[in-house]
Amino acid sequence: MFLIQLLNGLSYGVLLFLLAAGLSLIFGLMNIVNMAHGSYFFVGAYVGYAVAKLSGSFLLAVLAGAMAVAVVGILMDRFLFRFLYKQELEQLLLTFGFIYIFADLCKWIWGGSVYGLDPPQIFTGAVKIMGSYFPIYRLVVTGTGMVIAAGLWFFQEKTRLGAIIRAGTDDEEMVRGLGINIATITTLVFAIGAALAGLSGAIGIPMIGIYPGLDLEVLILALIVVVVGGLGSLAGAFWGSLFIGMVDSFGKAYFPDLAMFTIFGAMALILLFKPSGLMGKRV
Amino acid sequence: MGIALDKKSLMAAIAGVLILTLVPLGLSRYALNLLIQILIYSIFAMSFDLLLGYLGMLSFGHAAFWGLGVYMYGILKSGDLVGSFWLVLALAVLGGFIMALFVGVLVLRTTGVYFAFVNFAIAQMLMSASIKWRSLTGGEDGISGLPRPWELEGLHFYYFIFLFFCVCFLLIRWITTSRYGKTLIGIRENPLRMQALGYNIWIYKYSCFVFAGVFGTVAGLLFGSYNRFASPEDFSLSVTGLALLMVLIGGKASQMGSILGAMIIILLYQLVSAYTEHWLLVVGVIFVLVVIFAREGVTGYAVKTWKRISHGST
Repeated sequence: MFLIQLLNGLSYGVLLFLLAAGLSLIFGLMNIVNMAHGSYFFVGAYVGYAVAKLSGSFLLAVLAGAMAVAVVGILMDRFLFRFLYKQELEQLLLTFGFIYIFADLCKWIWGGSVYGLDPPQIFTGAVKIMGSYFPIYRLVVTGTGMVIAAGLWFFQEKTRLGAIIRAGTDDEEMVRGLGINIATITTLVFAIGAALAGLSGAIGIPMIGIYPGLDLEVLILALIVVVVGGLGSLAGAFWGSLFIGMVDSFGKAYFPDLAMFTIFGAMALILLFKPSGLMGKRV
Repeated sequence: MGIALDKKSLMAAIAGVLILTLVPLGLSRYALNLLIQILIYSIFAMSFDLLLGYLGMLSFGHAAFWGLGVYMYGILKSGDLVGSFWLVLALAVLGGFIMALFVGVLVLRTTGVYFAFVNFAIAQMLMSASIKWRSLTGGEDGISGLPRPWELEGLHFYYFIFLFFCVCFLLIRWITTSRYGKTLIGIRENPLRMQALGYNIWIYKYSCFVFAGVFGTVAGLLFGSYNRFASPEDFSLSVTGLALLMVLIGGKASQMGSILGAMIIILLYQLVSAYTEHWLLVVGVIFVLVVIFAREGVTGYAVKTWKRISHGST
């Protein structure tokens, strides 16, 4: 039973990581907290669902979800954030306004029903672990997420572009002084962050489905993750999401009445001792 | 006392009071209800403005206090647990005060975006609690069929709300125009310098947070008495969003701004809902436009234009 909860927490945490990583990256480089990030997840899920229904291919759906949101992200960066360069409060408020816009658009296009998808044929069914069953799809998600996490880590630590991004997070002016076009880089990072959000939205459909209010729910979780793990840190997002995933999983299993309290409580505790999160960049 | 009682403000205030006292006599029930909503939301917006406009601190969880106020009315008034409205008011103020005391200690450990989120988390926690704690709060269904205070209806209820509006307006105006208020602005503009001058920043932030919380709770309480219904939705992000939008559109650090903002948003809602159900989309777009083009809000632009006119183009 314990192992099942552990795996549950892991798979959920990994999904959260994909979402929170984008949020954290965007903040790290641009000092913008993208309040619409949950909406990115939401849109990615809807687009993924629509494509899956039309094409029958789950892989295509996931890619479509990621791409669609990446495009949205690029448009937002190019046409909106450019106007508000360095005005962090305004950028925050702008993304907040988009929560409403996306929520209404999605409702307009797809209606307010609950949607779900079965995982792709090869991944349906469950695996018997220590006497209990665990969905194969969740294992796949965990695996995929870990691979992506590793990929992101590699990208950040070992590639030149990653180094530029890390440098940009620390000292943007210096990077510009070195002649590097930080504007393109920020758009790229924004696109990656958005794509990750859309990807996790699409991947998550067989796990959590799509329903009105999901955008805010995942936003809250993503925010908690980055608050706990620290904004601007990929490692923080990783450990933060796993932590929150575990707290949620075990909380639901052993203290079902407390539900969100366990998560909020954990966050409150961490903030009491480490106001910038476990590994955060100072705000 | 110093409620900024120069001749012009006094004239404006008297005019305002006269208008708000006499005009309602000729209004339809529908228009009267709109005015009541505007007054209640103005109080909420003004309380939010204390934090955002004067102190420069954005909180995404102000609905926590609104919801507390609504539920205090709901819990105390359902089944007429507490007969006297004054007692309900006192308990609500006390409740808001205590909650702000506790939440403030936690929340002021953070700044900037973290501050915004932690407040949001608090509001979400309360929403969660209101859903789970069925026996107290009626769960998802909330508490309905609440009575009006002293059975007040129609015009009488309006004057009841108007009275509270005036009191809250005066109190908040007193706070913001006093030395305390100027200090808040100083902290907003340059906290380091204020500290160097010897001010205890934390106490100012804390007290401001408590004031904002108490007035927010009062606004919620009044809304509960108007709407006669309490639900977990009263803790939602959209409630905070409304306050934010009203303050932004009307103009930060200004009571008139908050009132104007409330008026604009509520009237706009009536207008938009008549033609489309996509109110949220409209709100979102307005948000975005205001943030990009008009972040000073109506009062900000009015001040700028006035300055430009009176100083000419020499």
